[in-house]
Amino acid sequence: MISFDLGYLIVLPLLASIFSLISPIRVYIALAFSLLSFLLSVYSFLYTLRDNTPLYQWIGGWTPPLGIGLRLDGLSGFFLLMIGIVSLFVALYSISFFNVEYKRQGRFFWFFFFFLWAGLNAFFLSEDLFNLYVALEVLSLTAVILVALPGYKKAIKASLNYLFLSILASMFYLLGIAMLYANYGVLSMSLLSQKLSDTQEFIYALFPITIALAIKSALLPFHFWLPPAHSSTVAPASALLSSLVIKPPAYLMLRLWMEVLPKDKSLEYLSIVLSIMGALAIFIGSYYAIRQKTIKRLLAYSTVAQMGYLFIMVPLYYHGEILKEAVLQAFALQVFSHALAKASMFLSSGNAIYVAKRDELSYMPGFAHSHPFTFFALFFSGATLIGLPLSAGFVAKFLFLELSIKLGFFLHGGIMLLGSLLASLYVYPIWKECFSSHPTKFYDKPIPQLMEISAFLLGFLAFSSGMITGFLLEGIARG
Amino acid sequence: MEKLAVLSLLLSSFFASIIISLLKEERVFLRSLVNVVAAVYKLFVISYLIWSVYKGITFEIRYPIVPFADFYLRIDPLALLFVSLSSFLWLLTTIYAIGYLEGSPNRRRFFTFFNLAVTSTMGIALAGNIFTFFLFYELLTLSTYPLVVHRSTSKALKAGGIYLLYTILGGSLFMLCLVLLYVFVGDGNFYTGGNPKVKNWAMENSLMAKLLFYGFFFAMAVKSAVFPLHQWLTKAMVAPAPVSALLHAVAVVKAGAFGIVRLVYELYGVDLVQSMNLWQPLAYLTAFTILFGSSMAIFQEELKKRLAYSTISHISYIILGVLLPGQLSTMGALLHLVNHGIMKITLFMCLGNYAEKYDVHKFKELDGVGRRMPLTTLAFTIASLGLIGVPMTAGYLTKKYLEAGAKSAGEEWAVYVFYISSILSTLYLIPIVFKAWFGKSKEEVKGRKLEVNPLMLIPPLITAFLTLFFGIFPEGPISPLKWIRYIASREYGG
Repeated sequence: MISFDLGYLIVLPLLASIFSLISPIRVYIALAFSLLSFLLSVYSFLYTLRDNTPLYQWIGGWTPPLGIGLRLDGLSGFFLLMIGIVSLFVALYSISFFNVEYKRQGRFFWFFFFFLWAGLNAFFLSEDLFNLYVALEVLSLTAVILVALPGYKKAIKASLNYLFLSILASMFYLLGIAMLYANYGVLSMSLLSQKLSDTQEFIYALFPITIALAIKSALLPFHFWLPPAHSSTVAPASALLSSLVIKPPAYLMLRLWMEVLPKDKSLEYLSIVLSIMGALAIFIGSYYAIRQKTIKRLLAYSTVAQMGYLFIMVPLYYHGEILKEAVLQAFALQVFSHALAKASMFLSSGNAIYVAKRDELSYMPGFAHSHPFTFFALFFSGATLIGLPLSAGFVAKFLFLELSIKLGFFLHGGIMLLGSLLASLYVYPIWKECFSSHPTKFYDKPIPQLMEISAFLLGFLAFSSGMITGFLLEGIARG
Repeated sequence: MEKLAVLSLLLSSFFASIIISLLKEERVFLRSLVNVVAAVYKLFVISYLIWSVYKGITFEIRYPIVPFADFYLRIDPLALLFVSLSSFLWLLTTIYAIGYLEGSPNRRRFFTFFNLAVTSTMGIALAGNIFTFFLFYELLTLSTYPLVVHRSTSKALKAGGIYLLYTILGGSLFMLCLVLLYVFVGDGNFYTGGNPKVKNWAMENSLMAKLLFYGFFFAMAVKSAVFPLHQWLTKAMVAPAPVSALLHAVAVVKAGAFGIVRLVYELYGVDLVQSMNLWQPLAYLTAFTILFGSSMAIFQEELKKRLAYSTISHISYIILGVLLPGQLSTMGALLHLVNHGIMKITLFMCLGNYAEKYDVHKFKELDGVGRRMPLTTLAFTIASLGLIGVPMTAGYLTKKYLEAGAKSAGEEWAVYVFYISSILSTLYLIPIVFKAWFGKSKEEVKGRKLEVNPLMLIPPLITAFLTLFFGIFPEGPISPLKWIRYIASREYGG
């Protein structure tokens, strides 16, 4: 396939964000650019699928350690695809959404939406720790603004909280890379891994980085910022935050553990600590999700629980060198299925709030009677979150379970299965409410078609992509 | 061409489900048309496939889902048996459901998920390895949940919750065993006579092999409602009559039983199951379930619940037949898979007719309903006699095979279990028949239009006719006996 400039993946959404701010026809701009960026993401995934070697490019021809390098390999290509899919459907949803609700916020939403998209693409294309830092900052700041978007007090408070924690995390991260840079003089991941295998004394620099990443991905003791931030903003923003923004730190963690870090006793302890935190996140996140009375908070806590899966796997990243491909595949598929399913769920929750004007579960409209497509969306995405076949979530859990047994981590596998059961306990009330019959005519209010269809398609994709994982997994394993 | 045929078996109901989900609620005629066309089309494909399999052509579709497990569909004689049973009954139930749900709300959703459930049943039948089987097995759970809670009363919602609880727990157990199997053996394909890799592995790791076998068995026993796991079935009777008829008498419970057939004959293989003595404890358990279900049925005032307990008992006939060593009991089991399906669906449809026409739900309300609805009650009577095992009915045949199988296996006690259960079946079915025909009703018969509409009447009459036909002409051209003999001889290496 024809090689292309990776920079377009970043430049295109950036252009869109500027155009959407200044142009009067921003909906068309949004539509056109979303489609273009989406197609470009698909193309880059197909590109990695066809060509085995990772693609390296240096912006402006400046080579590292001075220049900025971009890398496209199977894993990042796959994540670009995921970002493309989720963003496209969120964009379609938002076109309708900001037409009927929060009309004033529309313009700003589009600006930050595309900015976020650029940041995400930049993150997954970056290869050195400093660029990753920059991309992470872009993401965090955009996310903070997206949380504050609706402008009411609750949202602003949550957003401020989020901002403070993000800044704290950034400081930890900077501290870490400063220590690394001072001692090794490089920040590119591939160079760093060579240096680290020679001298391991400064491995402690990785501890602050780990803390930073744990905060940003809402790992257990640092999870408290997430539920208010993800639940108090408008539905499309929640969908973006919960399905996409939360993933990059976990991805960076994976890259560090699999590709950069040497084998070291202290790291082994750290991996155990992280996996315990991940397990606790599954239990506690699910527990709170089960107890929630409002749908958006339920979904937010479910995100805490689902992120736990990525961290409980850390010892597998550490020990899984022989099965590197399988580890990457399990990780990527879990991230992918959660992203699609959670986005679909949040968009559906937006539909519920649009109809009922409140977000208590008990007020949720009986979608199964009145709005079949929103019901299908909740049904399929719920099944994906639980990990029922044929969904991609199932395949991810299946792969992970297989890995944990192969590598001898039986307990991890058991907790994973238990997590599935807990997930069914918090998804079930949503399904049940879909069938509840509210007598009022009020709930028959039609939802704009685009809002229903985009939520549905995301859920359906999350579910049915379990049937084509052979193809997806092949892509992930490339490079 | 063959690949297309296999795929279209699966896709015809899937596309029907998608088209129906897109049709508006008011498009009754078009929706019914799609339903019936899909069902009839499927029967055509099946007759083509039966013809080609008979000529010895087998075909398959496979591609990888994960690196070590494939999505694998395959046509073999056993699959065809289950496929043709469920597609034929599906056509009848669809016709019945169109009549039954006339004018009720949410039919679009109902038929969407109904077709999805049938798709999963097809997948279960066609699965060529246990991984694919599991995929569709869980899809069946998922697609039947909306059908169980269809009426959305609080009772229905509660039943749906219990259904999900049982099946998701069973599904987790299944998944665990599945992963262990793929890690240890690396192959879960079904082979006639048993998977050789599984056999080799089980020779060396007998404890693990035992545990996995029991794990798989109990995971499937959830759906086939074997004793401690039967609760959901009686609760799920809140579903509308067609759902109880097709899903809770045929598709769902038999998916479990069919899985056990695959597990015993084609994954582990009869030799292994016998040499490791895996079957004996389970045989006792299913024998207990037979007696338990039958005796519980006697005390059920609610008619549908009575039939539900009867189903619990009769599915265990099948499983016991599968577990008992010997070709005869295998044939009995497979025959009962077919015959019980035909008879039980008749009973459920008849109960649906009673409930629809005269609002009869309980035993005591039955008085004289037979004189008002003679044809429905005739069908009910024939099917009841069949379940009891009276000569000249299909049930007699299965009972004879099962008893002969038990005798030839040297398990005399099982023969008595079948005897006692027959007596118990008489005790819970015959009173219904008597009360319907001869009970004194308060209001007398007036007017002409007594029966339900033909859409609801003809399907049970057809199945009742088949009950007689299979009993009188067991070797007849459309009777399943020949086919089943062929399957059983294959599994025993004949």
